[in-house]
Amino acid sequence: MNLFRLEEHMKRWPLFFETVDDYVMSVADWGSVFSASMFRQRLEPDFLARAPVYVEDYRRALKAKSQRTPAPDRILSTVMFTDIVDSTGQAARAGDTMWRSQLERYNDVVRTRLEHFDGREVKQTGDGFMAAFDGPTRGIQCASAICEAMRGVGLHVRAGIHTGECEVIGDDLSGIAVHIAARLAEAAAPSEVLVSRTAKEAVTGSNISFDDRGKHTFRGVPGEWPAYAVSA
Amino acid sequence: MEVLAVRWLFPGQEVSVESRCLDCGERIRIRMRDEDILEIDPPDAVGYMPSPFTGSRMGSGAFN
Repeated sequence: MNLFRLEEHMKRWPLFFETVDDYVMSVADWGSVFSASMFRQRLEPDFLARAPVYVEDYRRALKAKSQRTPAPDRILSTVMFTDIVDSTGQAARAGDTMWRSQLERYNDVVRTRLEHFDGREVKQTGDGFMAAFDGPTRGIQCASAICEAMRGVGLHVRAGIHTGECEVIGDDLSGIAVHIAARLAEAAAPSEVLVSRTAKEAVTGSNISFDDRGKHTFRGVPGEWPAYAVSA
Repeated sequence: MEVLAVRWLFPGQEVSVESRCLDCGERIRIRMRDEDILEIDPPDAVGYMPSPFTGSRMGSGAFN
């Protein structure tokens, strides 16, 4: 048995993700599963003949006691945020009717592109969208397509993309990776797609090119984060 | 498993085992007597064991 001082220590263990399907319990619970009497049975002369019975006993004891550590609800995902630049100003300039029409167009464009690039709409965030992709290439292509399409109708959209582990809460994603993607979108220039170094390096060889946008500090996120703009 | 199994070899006697956390290397101490676990330090210590009923991991189970 491998012992850990705390459950968190076990989760840090390099082999944790290979072993999570197996049995994890508090030492106290293991103590009751592997009782002294269970082991003393091995001294009985007919132990081997009765082994199948003991296995069943053991299986039942495990089933009764086991409180498996739930699999970590974390997945590696590419998170994309889109945002309409200066939406208040653009709404004022467009007027209510035109603005509503542009918003409908924006929603249609985003959802069409998400479908095309196999993205999943996680939620709408005011004038923006949060979406998730299996990989950064499709996320970057999707964000670029959205920005380009909206620029064609006179609406400037910006996007941020980061690839990292996210916590899964129902259909929603959360965690630092999500915050980083959101902050990248905030930092992007009009019609720009800004990606993290993680996302950039993950698409090496995809023929997507980037311009260095320097290091950024993001509110609520520790450290400095290099950002890269997707080149046209 | 052996950390908990050792107690049946010493009926009626207190058995103390000191081990190390596989992650941080800090001490884990377990005191037992027969069926009773007298002390676990730290109390939140957990144990992981591959399932003896998982075919792909046969050879690492409780009955080896």
